[in-house]
Amino acid sequence: MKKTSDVIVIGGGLVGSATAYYLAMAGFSVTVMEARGLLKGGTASPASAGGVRQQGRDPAEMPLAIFSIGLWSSLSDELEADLHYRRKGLIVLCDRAEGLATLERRVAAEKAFGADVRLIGPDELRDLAPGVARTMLGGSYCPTDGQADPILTTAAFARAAQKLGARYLSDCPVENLIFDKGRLLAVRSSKGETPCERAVLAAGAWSALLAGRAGLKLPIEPFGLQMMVTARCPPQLDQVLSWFGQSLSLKQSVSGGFVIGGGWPGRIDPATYRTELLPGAMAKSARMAMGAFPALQDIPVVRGWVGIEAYTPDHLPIIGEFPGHTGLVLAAGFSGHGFAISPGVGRLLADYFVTGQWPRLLTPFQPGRFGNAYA
Amino acid sequence: MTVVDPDLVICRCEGVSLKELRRTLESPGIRTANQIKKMTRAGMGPCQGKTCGRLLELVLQMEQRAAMGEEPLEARVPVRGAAIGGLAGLADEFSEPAGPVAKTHMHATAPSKSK
Repeated sequence: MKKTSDVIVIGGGLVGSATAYYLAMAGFSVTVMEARGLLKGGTASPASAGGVRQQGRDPAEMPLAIFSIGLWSSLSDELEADLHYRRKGLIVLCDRAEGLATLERRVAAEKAFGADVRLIGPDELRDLAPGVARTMLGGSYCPTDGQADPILTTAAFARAAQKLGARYLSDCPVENLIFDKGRLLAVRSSKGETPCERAVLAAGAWSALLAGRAGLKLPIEPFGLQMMVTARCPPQLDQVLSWFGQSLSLKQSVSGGFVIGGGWPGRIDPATYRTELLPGAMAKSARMAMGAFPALQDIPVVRGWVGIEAYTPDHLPIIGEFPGHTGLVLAAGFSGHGFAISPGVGRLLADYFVTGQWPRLLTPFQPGRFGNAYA
Repeated sequence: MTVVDPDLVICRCEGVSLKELRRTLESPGIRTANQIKKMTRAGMGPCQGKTCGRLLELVLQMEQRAAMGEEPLEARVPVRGAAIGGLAGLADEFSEPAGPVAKTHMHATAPSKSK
């Protein structure tokens, strides 16, 4: 395979597929190299909880989150696919008075970024989400937060990218990145060496391994996050719920099942993509979900899964070029909360490739921030 | 070859027809039961593929994607539905994990720009 590409995207998950889509839209010749195939599982994209939120973001991520929510407004139309996107808000529940005081400061900081977020008291909380536990004193509410289906979204970006001419190679694991004097020349995969102008490394938890083969050190650690889903139920919860100071993310999906997550661990083996649920994590996550939404008590969990997520030391993604290396742009390490911002990242990377100007919204995420020990 | 009614329901829990499965198989890169499940929800209902799993594999074989048993539908824990209340009641029986991970998805404290 000798065909040249302007850009090779390594990894066909959500970040890779969204980036491929916006690059193809901007007129680049794009090849996506996917080690296995669309939605093969084990990886972060199809395992995502599907939250599309601004609340609770690190300040460095807030402007990118707000920008991305703007893109989500028209994403279904643009990709001509139902993404099960529902913008009905996210409530961060709080059951302690001192927690409310901290939440109040956070809301003020988030508002300063321009997010539509406010504190709510018990009465408004009951109006918005009648099923929430009576022990909750209130919380913070952002009506423009919401949820979408990560599987439908990943597939829709991949399909739309291909419609615009992007080549999508399955069963094409990348073996190495070929540099000459710090400039990327080609990507070597199981199908041979493909010369390219640029490459985007969006291989999630496997990115550090790949970069390492080219002598680039990346502080990305794989970590397993557990999710569970219940049987379908009649609609009874519009908003996404989170619980201040606790590990909970709870939503009723458009398909009707309650999706439960929020930072409970699972066992993983990145080399084989195998994952395993921990019964203790399932039980404790179930207890937390029931504590926030008591009607869940009699509803059965039908399925659980674990995604292999890519974590960085500061839990912020690594997006940008390595110091001293041109041509390779990294977009990985989303640390369990990359779903909502992936469209924004893809769009801004395409802007960068068109203009040559590094986007302001992506400046906090450059690989150089970890110092000389890395890259 | 036997002609099968395209409206035949393969997954009864989620109401997924043969026609829908075939349409999904036209998407590039889709060839296994687990991929089909994610795209169509076939096998995602209360029975978790215990009824339709073999049928799904049969469809893939008919459409010349994957042979029977090549990549079967993965069984997911808890296999049989387990009520949230029942699961929650077991929470103290397990020492692992000790608690939720520090690596939670939500920034726990108030953000400050001066950090």
